[in-house]
Amino acid sequence: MAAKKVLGNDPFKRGAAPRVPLAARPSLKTAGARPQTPELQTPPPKKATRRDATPPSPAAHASAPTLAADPIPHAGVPVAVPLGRGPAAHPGSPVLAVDPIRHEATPEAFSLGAAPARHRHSPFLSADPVAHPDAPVGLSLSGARASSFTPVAHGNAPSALPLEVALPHAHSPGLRVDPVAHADAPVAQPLSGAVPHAHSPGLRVDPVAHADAPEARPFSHARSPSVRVDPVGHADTPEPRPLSHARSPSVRVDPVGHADTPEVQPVLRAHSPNLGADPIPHAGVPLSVPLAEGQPPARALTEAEAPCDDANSTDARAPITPRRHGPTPLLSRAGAVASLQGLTGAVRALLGASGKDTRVDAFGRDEALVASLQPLADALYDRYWRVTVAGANLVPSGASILVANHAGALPIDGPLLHHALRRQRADLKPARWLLEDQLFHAPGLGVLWNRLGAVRASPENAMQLLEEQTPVVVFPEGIQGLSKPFSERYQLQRFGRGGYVKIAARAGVPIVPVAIVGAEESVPLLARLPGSALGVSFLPLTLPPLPARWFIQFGSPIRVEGGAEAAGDLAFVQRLNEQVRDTIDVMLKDLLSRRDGIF
Amino acid sequence: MVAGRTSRRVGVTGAASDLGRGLLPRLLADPKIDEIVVFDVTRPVDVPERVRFVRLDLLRQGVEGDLERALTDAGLDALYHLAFVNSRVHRASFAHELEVIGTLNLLAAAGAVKVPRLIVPSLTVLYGARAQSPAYAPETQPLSAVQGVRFVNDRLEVERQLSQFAERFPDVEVLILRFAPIVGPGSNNPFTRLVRAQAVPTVLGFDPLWQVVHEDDAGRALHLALHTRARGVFNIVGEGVAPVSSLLRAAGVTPVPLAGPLLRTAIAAMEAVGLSVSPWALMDFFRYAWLADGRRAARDLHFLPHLPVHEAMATMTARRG
Repeated sequence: MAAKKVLGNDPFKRGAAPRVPLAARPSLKTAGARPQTPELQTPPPKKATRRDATPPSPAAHASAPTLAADPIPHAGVPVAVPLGRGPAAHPGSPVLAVDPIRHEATPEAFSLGAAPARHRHSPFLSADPVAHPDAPVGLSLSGARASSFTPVAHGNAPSALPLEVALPHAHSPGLRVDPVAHADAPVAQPLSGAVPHAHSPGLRVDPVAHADAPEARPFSHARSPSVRVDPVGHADTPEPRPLSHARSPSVRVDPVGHADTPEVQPVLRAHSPNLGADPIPHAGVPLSVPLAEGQPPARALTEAEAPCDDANSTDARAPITPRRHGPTPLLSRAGAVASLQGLTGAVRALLGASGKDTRVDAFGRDEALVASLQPLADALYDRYWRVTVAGANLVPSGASILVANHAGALPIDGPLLHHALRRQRADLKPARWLLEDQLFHAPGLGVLWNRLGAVRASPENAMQLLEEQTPVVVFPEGIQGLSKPFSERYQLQRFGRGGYVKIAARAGVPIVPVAIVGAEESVPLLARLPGSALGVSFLPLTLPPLPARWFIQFGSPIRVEGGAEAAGDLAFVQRLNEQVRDTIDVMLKDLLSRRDGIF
Repeated sequence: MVAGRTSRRVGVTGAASDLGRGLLPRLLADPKIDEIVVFDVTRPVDVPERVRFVRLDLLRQGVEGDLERALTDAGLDALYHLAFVNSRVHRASFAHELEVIGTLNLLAAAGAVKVPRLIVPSLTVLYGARAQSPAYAPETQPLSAVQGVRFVNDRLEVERQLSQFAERFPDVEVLILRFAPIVGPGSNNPFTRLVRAQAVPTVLGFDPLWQVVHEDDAGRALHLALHTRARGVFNIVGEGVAPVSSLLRAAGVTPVPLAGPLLRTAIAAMEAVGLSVSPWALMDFFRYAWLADGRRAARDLHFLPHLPVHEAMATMTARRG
């Protein structure tokens, strides 16, 4: 897939999709349409969730699978049930129970657990199997080309969940589909099929650009549809989505007049919880390549996964409250005090002035410092960068080599990935990440990174760590990954000489590909200043870390057979190196294409 | 094979050195040792009567003949060569003579007599502090000189002689113990002199990891080398590592981080007033970690250090009061 297409939702990207004049868009109104209210409002999600829902369809209700109904056990992995406010809270609402319907072609990496099984359980399908032969796909709203993290979906992507969800309910509120679609977006077609079944008015697809001018939203997405849930009766003004999608057909679920509005919002939030719940390691199998098949990703990633993240994690902290909930302090007072201590320690480490009680492990990590920075790290992780982690359970226990893309002007991806693993996989030894010389020996920063867990990148160090059953994170792009300009963000550089493959072969440990999105926008590299005076190849000119959302996707482990002999086989090493690189590339592009806004 | 025998004769050169004074009590307490022979220019004080003393000047012209005779007479099973200069020396040429030429003479005699086992201490400093080296230097890592630092370069020369000797006389079991900086109240070496200062300049923005080994542990390791069946090189390091700033503070020293250029000036100034702690070339040791991998000693020598790094450093404060 062309980069243009992949990055199509990237507002920074030149050559984004051409704007289609509204007038030129086909308009499709469907039966049962209610008069469209032009000023549609997005109520605060919380309110939506609190509304009592009446199950519109008993049948659908009965078949409504919650995640708990997932027939395939996810061994050892707590199936994240981010539907916290969803089905559990409102058992009467089948909508909520609808698990993201997985497309058959869904790549394994994003497998949502027992997808086919779920199909059967899907109220959607069971409600109207015939009419929707193409069920998982059919109700999607937009063209295949449009993809973003917006739950409302694109193309044949099952990520069309909210809509799919809404339609079965279709006896509920007025459904109006008004998809002014892109010429190339097969939006109208699926909808036309779907809508007649909707005996209900509530769902309105409002393709016309929203009153909130796209211009006002610098980060808006081109041509990605957005869903708005608008239970009427909510006078409270919507907090406008700051990152909405300009000129995209936008779906609004507007169950006007139905007091018993099904709670659609929770679905949005609860969307596809168990991205990472695939417990079966796909040994040796690279991730399938969703984009290469022209398939949009199996699911949309939204910030709604954050709760999933938390449910999955050992950390029983309150769920992440993303931006929509208004400003919340980044840190509690106690957390602030603790963080201040941690920061003091960090500055002392930075200056090379550690105290006499400083204790470090064999590779220089200061556990006390890490612990004291924990509140701050958690706040940054949960609230500032709102890290979404998927597939953490794929990381095998014991030693493994996690291979990730390196990005951003400052190497904060290492600590963040380390923190993510610490949160999600408390059973593993704290992961150590390997840092290239230029960074490891950079004055100040190198020391701090070392105290936080970085290890100088060298085969000997990696082998020793692996012998100790420590997961080792490597960034094979090295300094190249950090020194590429912002315009080349997320374009993988050469993966070194495949040193990590040799190490994996020699140590007999699996390689886990990891894609990290968010670093490039958090610390964009604006310029490279000469830094030879400080002993670094360049000084990055960047901004203070920006609150871009982060997504970390772990892929299926790749087992490396062959031992030392394979490590000496340069062709093998190169091949596997390329394979890992391609896998990460695909995961990256997939994440990017599904990302709903940057911040 | 020495290890299999019940009675032994052990020779020691440099018995009055820090290491010698740590080793002798252990040898005296070892029931498997019948006789201890000390080779030196004068009889070391506080050495009990059972220790046989043989007067020998390793630097005298034509000492090899005397040495050969002495070694043959002694009928040694093992020889410790500890005659190295660690204390402050104003005549660097003497130290060089003793370490390099003295070892040369000793090796010539030991080769001729075929001493079954030769045990020589060395330093992990020889691995150097380099940006590109792995975190833990294995025994196989190449050694490097430090320009302008006598006590490093002479020991490097000794190591070269030893490796040539080991190649030439495969019958002689040569054991080289590379010690991390030895600390303790009884030690006097460049490192302990560093941590006996009030303040030590360090390099701003760097805080490399260091190791030390306590003198008791060092003596124990030397003693263990007598009984092991293994041979070759062993890194003898203490337990744990510490950032240099933390390590200095544990010994009651205040590290003063100075920016590179400022530090250069500071060192020049301290040298001018006779407070020289380290030449500029040693500054790499304040920038890059220099750690040695002690796993081989643990495995083959059964040497496990008793004192962790911070406690070992704390013994330096105790002495200062």
